[in-house]
Amino acid sequence: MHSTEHERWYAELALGEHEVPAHAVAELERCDVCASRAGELDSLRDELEQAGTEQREVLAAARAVSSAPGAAEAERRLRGLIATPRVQHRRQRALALAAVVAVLVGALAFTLGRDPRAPEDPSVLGAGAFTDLAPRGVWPTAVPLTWNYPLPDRGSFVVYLRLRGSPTAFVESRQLASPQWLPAEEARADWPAEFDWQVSAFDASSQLLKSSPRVPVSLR
Amino acid sequence: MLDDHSIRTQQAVEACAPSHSAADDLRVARGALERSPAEVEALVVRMRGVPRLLVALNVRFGWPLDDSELADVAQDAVELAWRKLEHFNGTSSLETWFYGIARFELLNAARRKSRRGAGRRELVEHSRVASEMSDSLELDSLRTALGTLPPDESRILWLHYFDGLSLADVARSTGSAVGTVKSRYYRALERMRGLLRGHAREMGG
Repeated sequence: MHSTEHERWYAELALGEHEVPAHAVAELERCDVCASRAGELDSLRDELEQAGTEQREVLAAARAVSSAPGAAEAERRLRGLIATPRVQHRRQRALALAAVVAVLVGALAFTLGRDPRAPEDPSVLGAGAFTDLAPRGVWPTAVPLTWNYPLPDRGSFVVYLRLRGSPTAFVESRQLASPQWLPAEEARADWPAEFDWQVSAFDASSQLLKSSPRVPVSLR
Repeated sequence: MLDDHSIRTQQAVEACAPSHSAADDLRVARGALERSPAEVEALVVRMRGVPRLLVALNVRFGWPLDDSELADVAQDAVELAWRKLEHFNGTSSLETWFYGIARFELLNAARRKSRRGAGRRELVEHSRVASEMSDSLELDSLRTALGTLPPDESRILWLHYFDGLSLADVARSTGSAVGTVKSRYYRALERMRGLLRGHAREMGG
């Protein structure tokens, strides 16, 4: 049965650093795990030895070679490669880097610019258009946000409030069945003075149909 | 007084001798990539050994290539070495590194030639070469596995097996304690055993 004791003996045996007791060697030989491991390690050492020997012999033989075909051409080729203007490599790298940066910036802008719950304009065939978004500019107390949209049967609206330029909503309404929303008066006390509002329409299965443009407002 | 040809010959012979330190080799490689004149010249001198290496490898593998093919491979090997130079990390000597590239290019060229087909006599000859190459492919996967080890572990295996240093000499060469070298050596072997076992499984072996 393989054990942690085997691991220690095995390592000592492999390194040849300490004398491993005879009974331990016998036990390792009886252990299937250790025996197979030792076999693999032996063949690995043999292969490394073979590869190293081959290399040393070939290097020694190479030192005895008086001339090699293509030596002059190879050197000319190498000097030509080295002489290739570094600026060309730098320009290629700069272009590749610029392309990567452009892709990353695009991906970042895409990610930051969208709210997964309310993309600006999903491509839904037959989705209608928002009209009559109000109020714009000042949003007086006790005046609901209103809009027009041809909502399908069992569809709903959700209103999002966002700071200017921010992709994240700081307030989100509940699902609304009619095209208007009036938040509780006390909730408005915690809101910033200026922000954008936006409304999205969803179908019966809560799939986004369309989002309105952002409408800037300030509280009064 | 030595003429230019004799100087080049002498340099090429020396270039086949792995007698430089890892730090020197890394400095040469990095300096040459930065087009530092002294390092560029040092690299060119060191690479003069590559065509000779190819001749010796060609003999070793039973003359699979003729002189004109060998000349083509020399150019390819030198170009590949230059293009991959930025990946040289100094864990082995430059000569060991060139050796891996030269060997890879020569065997690839021999395989391509073998696939292209030849006359009956050459086919018999190529089958012998192919069998030797099959063994040598095993050694390629060994070199690949070595390249994936942590540098402090692979350096010990390169120095021990490929430069022929004892573990005590490896310790002296790397400025480490013998015990440290031994435990890294053991770890490296164990890690390689795992890598090659995974490789064998992938190959259905």
